Amino acid sequence: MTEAAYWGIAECARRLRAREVSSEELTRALLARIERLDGGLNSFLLPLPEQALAAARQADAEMARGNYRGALHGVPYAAKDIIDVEGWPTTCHSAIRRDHVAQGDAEIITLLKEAGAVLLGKTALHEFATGGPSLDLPWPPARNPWNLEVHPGGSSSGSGAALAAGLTPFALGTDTGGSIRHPATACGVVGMKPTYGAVSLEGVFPLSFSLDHAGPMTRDVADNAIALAAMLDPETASKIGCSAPDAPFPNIGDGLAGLTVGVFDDFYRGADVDAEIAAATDAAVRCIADLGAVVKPLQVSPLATYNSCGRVLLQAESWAVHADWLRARHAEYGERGRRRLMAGALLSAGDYIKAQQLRAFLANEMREAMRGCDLAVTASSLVFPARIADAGAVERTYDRAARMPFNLSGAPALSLPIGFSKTGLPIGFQIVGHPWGEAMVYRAALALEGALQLGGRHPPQFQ
Amino acid sequence: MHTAPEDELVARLAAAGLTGLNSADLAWLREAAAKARAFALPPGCPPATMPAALFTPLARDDD
Repeated sequence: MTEAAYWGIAECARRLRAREVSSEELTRALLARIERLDGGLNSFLLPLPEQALAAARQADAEMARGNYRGALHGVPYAAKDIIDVEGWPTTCHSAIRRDHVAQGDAEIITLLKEAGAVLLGKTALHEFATGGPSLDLPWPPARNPWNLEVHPGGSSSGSGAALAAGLTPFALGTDTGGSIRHPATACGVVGMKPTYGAVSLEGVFPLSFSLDHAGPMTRDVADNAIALAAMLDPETASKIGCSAPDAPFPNIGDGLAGLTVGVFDDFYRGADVDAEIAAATDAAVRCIADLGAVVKPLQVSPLATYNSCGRVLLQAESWAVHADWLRARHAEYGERGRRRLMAGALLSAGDYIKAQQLRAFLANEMREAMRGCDLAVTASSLVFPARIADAGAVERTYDRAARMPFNLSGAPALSLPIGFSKTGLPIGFQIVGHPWGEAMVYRAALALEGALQLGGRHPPQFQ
Repeated sequence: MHTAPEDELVARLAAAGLTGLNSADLAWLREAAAKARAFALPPGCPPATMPAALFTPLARDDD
């Protein structure tokens, strides 16, 4: 069953339906792989083998009776440990929450349970989804399967690392300033931050309520669409044109010909942008044009304005969540998380209101810029991830990204791999839609993925 | 009488209930506060008069 490591959702579903494999066999194979390979990767904080095998056996029994729930039935997945699973701790990768026990499932866990998916376990993150890879927490930070010395991106680090290492067919992440798209970029997988409010955050520990999103991470675009579809309530699914669970976005195979694609190219220009990343991003834009889209540049405020606005909102809102713990127990936080969360104490109510005011302005200018475009594209990370041991470099590179603008605007944004650096690290690229335009994002991403043909390349240590 | 900036920072943190922080944390927070002070509204940014709109970023039904 070693070949099951890199089966995606669609491949698992096909084999499960054809009875080529049972969910129990698949789940056992992945649990064994986690046991064997995750020791140095640290992508899982809490594997749940007994619970996973019980769910897999239930899925097998249901399918044997002809009660097939859809493409996720019997398919294993992992959830970032900021998402409640009844009876288990939601540690948020922090000593502060070590003894927590969730009293119920998060709504997305309930939806995935109803879809028949099998939870393998809970994955590592940056403490409370902020901070960075920290060595002073009760659990070690996840590492990047492409180079174990390197930051896997975050804060949904474990979800990205587990996918790239072939430990799970899909995973859940959350994204407040890029925390799904950053690990997707750094680990060479696909991460979707859907429209603000599309995926329920009930039972997900908050970081910054007006910027928080949850979404799926997968190894390919089609799988991502399937996973997202299962995470939506029926009303939202209908709103974004999502239909049958096995083919949730019926037009995503229609290609790019005839579409107009805007490019936020100023976001990835400048001396502080890695030349390999800029060149790869330009090449992806040319590929989109070659596939028949009309490409045009888009002008908006500087990236730094978006990032500073987002920083103030995130600090103010996360301080509101953590103030009591920080006052009484700040030494129990890790250094990075503690500092980032305490920074909000220095902001005034006026700072926060001004930032929300600016956010409305920026969201509006982005909407106006994209008027007439079917979607937009830009880079994801502007530099390659730093070595985890180099705390200064991690700090300097943490915000060098073009992801926060879409947390502010609430628009759907997906990161997919478009190539590799000379040193073998993945390069990501963002495709951005209009609000509720997930189907168009997937359509463009599927076309680009098909043209680039990067699938099948896996980290050498995790073949 | 002027208060030294670092004393002001410590005082603001204490007012928020944060005391006993180490010098490295204070240095990091000093830099974070400077970044936050650099935050400015661009010309043409409308006044914050519609609170209901503040928490409904682009995800609007009329889009």
